[in-house]
Amino acid sequence: MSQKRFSLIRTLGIIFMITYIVFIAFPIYWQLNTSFKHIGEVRKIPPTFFPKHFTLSPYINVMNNPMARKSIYDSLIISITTTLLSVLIGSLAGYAFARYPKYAGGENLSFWMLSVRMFPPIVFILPFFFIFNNLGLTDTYFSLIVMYFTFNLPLSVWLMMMFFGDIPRELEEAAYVDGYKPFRAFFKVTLPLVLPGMVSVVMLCWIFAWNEFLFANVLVGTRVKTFPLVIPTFASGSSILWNQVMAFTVIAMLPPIILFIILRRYMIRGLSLGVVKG
Amino acid sequence: MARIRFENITKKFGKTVALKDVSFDVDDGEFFVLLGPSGAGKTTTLKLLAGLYKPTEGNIFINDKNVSEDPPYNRNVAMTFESYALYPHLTVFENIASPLKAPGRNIPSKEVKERVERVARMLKIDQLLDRKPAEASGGQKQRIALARTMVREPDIYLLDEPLSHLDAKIRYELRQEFHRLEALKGVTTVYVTHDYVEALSLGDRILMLDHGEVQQIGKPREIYEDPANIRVAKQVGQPDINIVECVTRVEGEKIVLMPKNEPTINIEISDEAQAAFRNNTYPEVLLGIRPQFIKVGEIPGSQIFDGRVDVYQVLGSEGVLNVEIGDLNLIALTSPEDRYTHGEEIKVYFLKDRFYFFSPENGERIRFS
Repeated sequence: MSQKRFSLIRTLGIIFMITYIVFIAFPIYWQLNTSFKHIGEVRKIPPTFFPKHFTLSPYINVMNNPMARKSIYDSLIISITTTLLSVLIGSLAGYAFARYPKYAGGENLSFWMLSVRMFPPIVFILPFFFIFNNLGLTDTYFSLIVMYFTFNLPLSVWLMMMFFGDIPRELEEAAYVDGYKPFRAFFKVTLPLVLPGMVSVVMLCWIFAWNEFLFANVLVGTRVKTFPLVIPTFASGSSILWNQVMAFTVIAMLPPIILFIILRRYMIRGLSLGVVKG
Repeated sequence: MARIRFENITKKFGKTVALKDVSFDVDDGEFFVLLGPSGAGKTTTLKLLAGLYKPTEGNIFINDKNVSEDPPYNRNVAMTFESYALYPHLTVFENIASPLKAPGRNIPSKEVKERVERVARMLKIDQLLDRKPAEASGGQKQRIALARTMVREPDIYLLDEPLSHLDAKIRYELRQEFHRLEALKGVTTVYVTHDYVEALSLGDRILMLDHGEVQQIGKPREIYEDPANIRVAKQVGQPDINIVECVTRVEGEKIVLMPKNEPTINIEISDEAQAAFRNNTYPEVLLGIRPQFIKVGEIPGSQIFDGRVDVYQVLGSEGVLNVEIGDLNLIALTSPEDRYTHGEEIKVYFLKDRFYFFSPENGERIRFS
């Protein structure tokens, strides 16, 4: 390939990347931009690309709103519990499917688990609402945790099954011969190698539970309220408090971002471990 | 220090039979080689010894104690894997120290450090201790795996194809190192390989395994000079032994062999062999001739054949000659100084005292005494 054509493709590539980044980053920029404006400036046309009168009042208003504060707390409880359960049970099941497929029920069972994901979630909403309602479980943490867990588990099992399947069995066998019992060998060899994969499962489960609106809207709403249910309350009959919506979503973005920063270390280690294999 | 006894071991994986009624003994301190082509069941045998597999039938004894059901962490055996099985997330030091840090061993960390460094120096990998296994070359990885095995002072060493992934030069060097390693000398070692040169070079005794069955157990010279069947004869020796399908025939007073795809010639055999074939006990036989026992030229008293040069390769220390006698294509070893060209007419004779005869039905050796 000639030098000229190569640089043309390169330039096009860079242009594409820049467009892509703008596409991804613009909503976040706009969210931040709006969250620091007074409501009057938000409604101005043409819009301002930087707050003329920088203000923290949307944040203060949101933080003083007890319903908004509690919703973050509720969302945290539900997401943390769901994620821990999904990853823990998904790892155990994934390990069993990867290492002992015959005893774990084989391909049929693992595939059947995945089939739960093939239905559109909305199919389950009414049946689940009636079940939970009859059991008196609506408007509880439990109902949403069970729901999210049900949807996260198949994904978690399948991903963990693949990550465990990628680790050569001989590494564990080497640990047994070295004198480690299966449980110790798991923590010495298998777990550290699967950790990067596990971290990505944590992120996926978290994001699903954290952002979910549909089930939350049907199953909870009075005593328990997750943050996506609070966002619509900023829209009153005549106006939408866009600056408060944005400020609230900025706050709601913080837990996943903090989680990602903590776990990033392991994800990067995972990338470098990939090179080792083979 | 340990004796091993394998007693009528059968191992099945589902319907696949990996080992069929395998029995053998290994003496204390012996260097015992399992030789066989891939898929023969060598690694299965090793993993049974390590306790990673449990036998379907039969019993395994270490020092007269039945360990058939014991898990690996309760047997004092050390094993290197063909894949090396180094822990990629740990440094070379941590890899080697792993068996010393296993629960229940309680070795003080100062001693762990000393022992790891000693074995690393011995295997010339002490400069790698702080690195990850991924940063080591193939030969170094091999030595790291070996170090992890040798750091332990176990009852038995199990070595699975430790040299197979290395290039020829390093393989030769490491083979010599194996001879020098004092640590290996006193300890019972079971060594798996598909390379007969390694087996002949290293083994006190060799077990030749094929299709999950024991073909022959013996000292290296016995395996090479006195193969029990055609599978052993083929596995041991390079270039491969020549096998000629023959019919036995009475020619006057004598019994001769007539090659099936070259009926115009009769191959004379030794007087001993004649006696054995006299009563038509074997209407057909497989004749085995090692390449070094086919010679170019003519000497008085031997049967001379007219041959034609097919392919000739000079390989440094020897020449490999494919010679055609009619439709028979045989491999002969020559001196590397010899020169032959394609199509050249030459005279060929066989050393008939060195013929092997095998039964065409089951490949077993036909013996005379």
